[in-house]
Amino acid sequence: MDNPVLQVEKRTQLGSHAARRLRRDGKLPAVVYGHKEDTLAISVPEKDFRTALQTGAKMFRIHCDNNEQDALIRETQYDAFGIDILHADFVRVYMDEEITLEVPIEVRGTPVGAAKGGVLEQIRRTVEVRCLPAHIPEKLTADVSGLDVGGQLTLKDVRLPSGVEIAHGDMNTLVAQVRLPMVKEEAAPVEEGELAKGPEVIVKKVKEEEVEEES
Amino acid sequence: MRLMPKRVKFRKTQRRRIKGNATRGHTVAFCEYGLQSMDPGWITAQQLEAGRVAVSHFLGREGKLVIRVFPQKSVSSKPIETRMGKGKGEPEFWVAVVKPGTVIYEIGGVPEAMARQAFNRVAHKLPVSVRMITRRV
Repeated sequence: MDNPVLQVEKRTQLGSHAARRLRRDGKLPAVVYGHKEDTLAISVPEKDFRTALQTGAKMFRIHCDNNEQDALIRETQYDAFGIDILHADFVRVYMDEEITLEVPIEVRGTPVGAAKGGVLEQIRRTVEVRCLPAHIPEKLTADVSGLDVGGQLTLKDVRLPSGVEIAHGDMNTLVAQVRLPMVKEEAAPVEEGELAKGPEVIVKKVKEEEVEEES
Repeated sequence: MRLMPKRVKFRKTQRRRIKGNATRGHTVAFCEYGLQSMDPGWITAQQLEAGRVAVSHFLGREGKLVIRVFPQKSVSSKPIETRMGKGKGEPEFWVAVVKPGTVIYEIGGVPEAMARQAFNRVAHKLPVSVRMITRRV
């Protein structure tokens, strides 16, 4: 699949006010950096960028002033509600150079232990992988259907597409496990007087010497 | 469960305004689904506990619940039929200050439909409007 193309413009005015004006006009402030070249402040059409993100794109082809370069999306900032995109970070990459990036892990199947009352717990949701930009996987999958109660799935068991290797050092890192739900012991009832007393107040200890001096 | 600080520097706090949106604690961090506040407000320790009980009754032994906020702030009040003056009242209850965007609860280990039903029960216990969000990878 070809990388989505973004027609971007260089940003001359920087700062929060200029960024807010850009967002009002349907553009998104962004930045391109990497490969020891100058950092470039750009503005991206918000609609195009959002559409590309929804299709799972990670690599983009950036057109800026008759200049083309491939870039990987490094970070996307959202507002407090996770709805509006506020800013994006792109890092320059060469298509023949291996890159390292975080990819989500998806667990598939219903574990055998679930029928015995076990709960599937996914501990690690992303993993760092190394691959060529053309081979970036959308996600890695791991089959948990064979897990019994107490069973564990590690990075070794994650299925990798060709041309992709895990960059995380320890392959025994836990990804998912099936365990019996913990039964919490009911806390001992708190006496009324204890509740009314409230928390302990931290009081500064006055040195005895100071007290003597004052007297 | 006793939801209030163990030790405090000052027993009584000023009320203060709640301004702006949440700049931290606004994403799902521990589980798959979260209950996000859409309004600013105070959530009392009793309301938080009521929400926890509602979820644990609904989910039973399934899944996992995480409470992302803690009642750090004391709210004082004067006894009824008391004349004004004579100093600030005694701390009555403890609240968690919540800004729009704050994730209050998280649920994991259950299907989405079940989490939604559980959050629907919690929403009735809270003084702020809320919505369910899912984890963004």
